[in-house]
Amino acid sequence: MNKLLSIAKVQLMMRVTSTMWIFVVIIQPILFLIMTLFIMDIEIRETYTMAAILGAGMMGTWSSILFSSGGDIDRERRWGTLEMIVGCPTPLWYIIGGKSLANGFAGIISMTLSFLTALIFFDGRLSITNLFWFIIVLLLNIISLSSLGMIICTLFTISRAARGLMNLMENPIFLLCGIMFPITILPLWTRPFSYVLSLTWGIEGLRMAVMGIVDYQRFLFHILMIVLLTIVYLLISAKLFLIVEKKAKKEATLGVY
Amino acid sequence: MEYKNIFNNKEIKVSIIERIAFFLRGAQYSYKALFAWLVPQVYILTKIVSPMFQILFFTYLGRFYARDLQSTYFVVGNAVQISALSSIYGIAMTIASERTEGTLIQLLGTPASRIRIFISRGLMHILDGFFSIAIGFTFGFIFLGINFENTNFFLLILTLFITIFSTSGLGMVIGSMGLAMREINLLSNLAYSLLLVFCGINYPLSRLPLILRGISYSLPLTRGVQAIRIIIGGGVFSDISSLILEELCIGFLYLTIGFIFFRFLEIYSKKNGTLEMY
Repeated sequence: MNKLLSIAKVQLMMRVTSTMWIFVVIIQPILFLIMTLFIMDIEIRETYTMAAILGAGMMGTWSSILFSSGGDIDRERRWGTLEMIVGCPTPLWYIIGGKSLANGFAGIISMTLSFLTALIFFDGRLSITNLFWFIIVLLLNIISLSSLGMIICTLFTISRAARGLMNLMENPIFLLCGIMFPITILPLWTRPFSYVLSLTWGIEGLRMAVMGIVDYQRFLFHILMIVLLTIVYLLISAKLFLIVEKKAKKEATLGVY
Repeated sequence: MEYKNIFNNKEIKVSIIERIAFFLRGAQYSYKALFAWLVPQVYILTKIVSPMFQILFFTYLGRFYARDLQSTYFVVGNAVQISALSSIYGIAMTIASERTEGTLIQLLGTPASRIRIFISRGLMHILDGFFSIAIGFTFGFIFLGINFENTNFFLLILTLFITIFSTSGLGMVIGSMGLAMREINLLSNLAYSLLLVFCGINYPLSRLPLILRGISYSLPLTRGVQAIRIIIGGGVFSDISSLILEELCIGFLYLTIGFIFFRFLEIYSKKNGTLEMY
């Protein structure tokens, strides 16, 4: 655990120096929140302000994971440290896990800033009905997205089109997960894609915790789905790590682009 | 018409046709060499697929939250704004890459006209931006119901080029700033997002507080997108003439600012020997 925390701490310290990280974690969620609130009809703004804040906060979390985890291995490769990381006694998936976790927890900054923006500039009356469950679901979301980040990290290591894929995976995830609006307004055929993304269940869980949980069974089902999908993501990423590590060592192409 | 150029201490005559050919070649080479998204996979994902999702995201966002605005409003706004991928990111990347790729010293060591070097960096991206909008409109027409029945296409194309040119001016300012600082990505991202927030892409400017509307009107794209909506709705030249004239002026203003910054940086860094230092 100490190793994991230490890796996460170093990762966070390094990411803070990246202007891209500053943009996706701090600036972009605030701008998206402002845009969403201006798009809203004035009469419905009060009702949906909290939904917009949650959406903007989770946008920051996802973008942080996508742009940080997506480039983690590639960055190590460019810096010439990938060989050392793979060769050290700590397993690679453990190191990447620590990095992904740090990238995910950065989302708390986005969420806090979104709350503050709405509070200061939009005179929002903000309240969280179930604070306990809100914190639990937020943490589960961060862990779940971090595990998805581990999959992305390995996939992007294999693909040379990583930069394009990174740009591609931002808006579609916002759309499919219903990060700012319910997925029920999307065409029916998109539903399976939404359901395999834990953020779909996570953002809905957050909305329930904030607005008030009316149906506990339904709420707990959302939590169960986040946990199940997180386990699936972790299993897939573990398998992918083994493949990438074995392939890289066998072909001796770790530092090669 | 012929001009004299000095080459190897000899005067050679260069016709205007050759000058145009130099300009076009410069535009083509700089685009090919310095635009990092030109790898086919990256280009398709970043410049074609991802913008379509931007259009979809904001259209659905609008359908859910803004019942007073039609889907077309969001489709048109975003289809035009995605051209900023070329006119902001593309141009800024092309200009600033001269330094990162190590070609800035050679470039500024040549006797070539600075204004020609500067403007040629933008030409291909203006065409590329037009291509992005064409794809966005086609996508909107097929899947999201944009109606071009009353559209004057000649006027639409003219206005689109003026709008992209004007946004390119901002891209050139950012590109020039990128020659002096490392934060080119942050600046490009910020400019792209600010255009979304301030230029009436996803909501009418009347929804912005009065003080922010001043920012909207000092940015490129604001009047252009307004004019394009009018043209698609069946407007004629007299309805949009003042909008496109102002948009053109804004474009020239930003272009001039960008060029002044570019020249200032060149003169300052040559004087201090800091051409490739940040």
